[in-house]
Amino acid sequence: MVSGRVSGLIALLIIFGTMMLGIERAKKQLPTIRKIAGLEAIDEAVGRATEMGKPIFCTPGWSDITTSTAAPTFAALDIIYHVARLAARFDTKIVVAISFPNVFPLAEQVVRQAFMLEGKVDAYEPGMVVFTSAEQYAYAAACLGIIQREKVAATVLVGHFASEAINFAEASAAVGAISIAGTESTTQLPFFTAACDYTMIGEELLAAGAYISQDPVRLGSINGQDYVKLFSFIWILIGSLLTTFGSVWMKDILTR
Amino acid sequence: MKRELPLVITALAGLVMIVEYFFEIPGTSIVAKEMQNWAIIVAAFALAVAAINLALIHARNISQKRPGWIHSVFLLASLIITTISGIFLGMDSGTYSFIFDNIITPCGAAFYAMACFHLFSAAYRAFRAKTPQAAALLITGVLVILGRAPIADMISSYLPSIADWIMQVPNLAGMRAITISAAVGMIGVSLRILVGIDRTHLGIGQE
Repeated sequence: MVSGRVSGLIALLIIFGTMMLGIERAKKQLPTIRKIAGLEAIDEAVGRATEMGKPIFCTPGWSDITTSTAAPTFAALDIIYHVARLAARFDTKIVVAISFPNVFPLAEQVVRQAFMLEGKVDAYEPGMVVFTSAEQYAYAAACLGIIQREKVAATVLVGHFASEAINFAEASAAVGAISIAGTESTTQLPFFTAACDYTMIGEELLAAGAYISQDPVRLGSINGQDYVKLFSFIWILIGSLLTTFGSVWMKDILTR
Repeated sequence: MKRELPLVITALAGLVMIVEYFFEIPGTSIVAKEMQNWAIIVAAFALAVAAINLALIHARNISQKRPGWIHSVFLLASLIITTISGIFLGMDSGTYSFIFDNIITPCGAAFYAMACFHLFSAAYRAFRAKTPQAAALLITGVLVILGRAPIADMISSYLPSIADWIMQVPNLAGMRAITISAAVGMIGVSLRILVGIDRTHLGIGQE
């Protein structure tokens, strides 16, 4: 066992066990999940784009799937899949801009699959998913160009973002597009919250796949995660109290 | 088989990386390092696929004379020149350095500077006290902006302290709450992918 990682392994096992318990419970009774305004607004955004005859712009952010920000990228692909299905259903044009090459084949697969499941495989065009650049501002400039040139009716900005977030949000506002954003990046959340019509904050983005699919297994795992958060809250409270009274017991346990 | 194989590969790769991170089992670190090397090779193929997509889309723009096709000419020319100079002349060559230092870096800096103007226009739209929440945002926003500005001390000696308190206490508490819940969510997503519950990214979406 690697020194200093024992507590990490125990935490991982607890989270995994709790998620599995949540899944088992969900098989008996489906857990309720509160409404996520950003996800509810996707139908409205696609409907608006359909009525206006303008495209929907989506991007899974400036992040790769081989880094610590892989999870939001996968969650973003889940949302893009949902948007693509709706776009295919209503014959609305969709443009998905990709930053990192590794994400490109996945996004292409996801959008093609969405069109296939809607019985519109002929409507799928390779240009719907566009690779831009892994260079941050080249990617950002490409996205802004697409938003401006296509005069999109809706933008779905989900995943991990850096300083380009505010540019995307403002470009959406400039063309009068309805903007739905979601990120786990705490440094970019204030910008999205201030400038976008709807924002999914942190875990809302990561729970999106389960919320959209209403799959009992995925919803059950989200339910399990909630218990992990409750456990974390109690753990933080105990740790705070112990540290306040001078005990280093919690610190010792966590660094083992 | 087409559905199961990617799930099995994902689960095995994930398991190896987890075992290598937590345990000191002889051989696992070699396997993990080898798998990371494979990831780099796969990424190189993904880059080729993505670059071909980019070139095809812009070549189509030019051939069909779509609106703004001239931009596609510039893009393709830049792509070809940068690729050739990087591969044949090397990344330390004068040509490659010139492209990087005189085109990419200043364009990036200019784009970053645009964020400043976008921030103000976003603030202008957001700081409209139509609801109690928007009013709270307006008040805290103004206090922090003024508190962090050089003029703060001249207005009131309390302003910098108020701005610091807002940033260090309620703002930091909120940020930490979001960070902790997002971290749990990220572990959840990762575990769901490893055990094959989340698989939309593989094109195996819900029917």
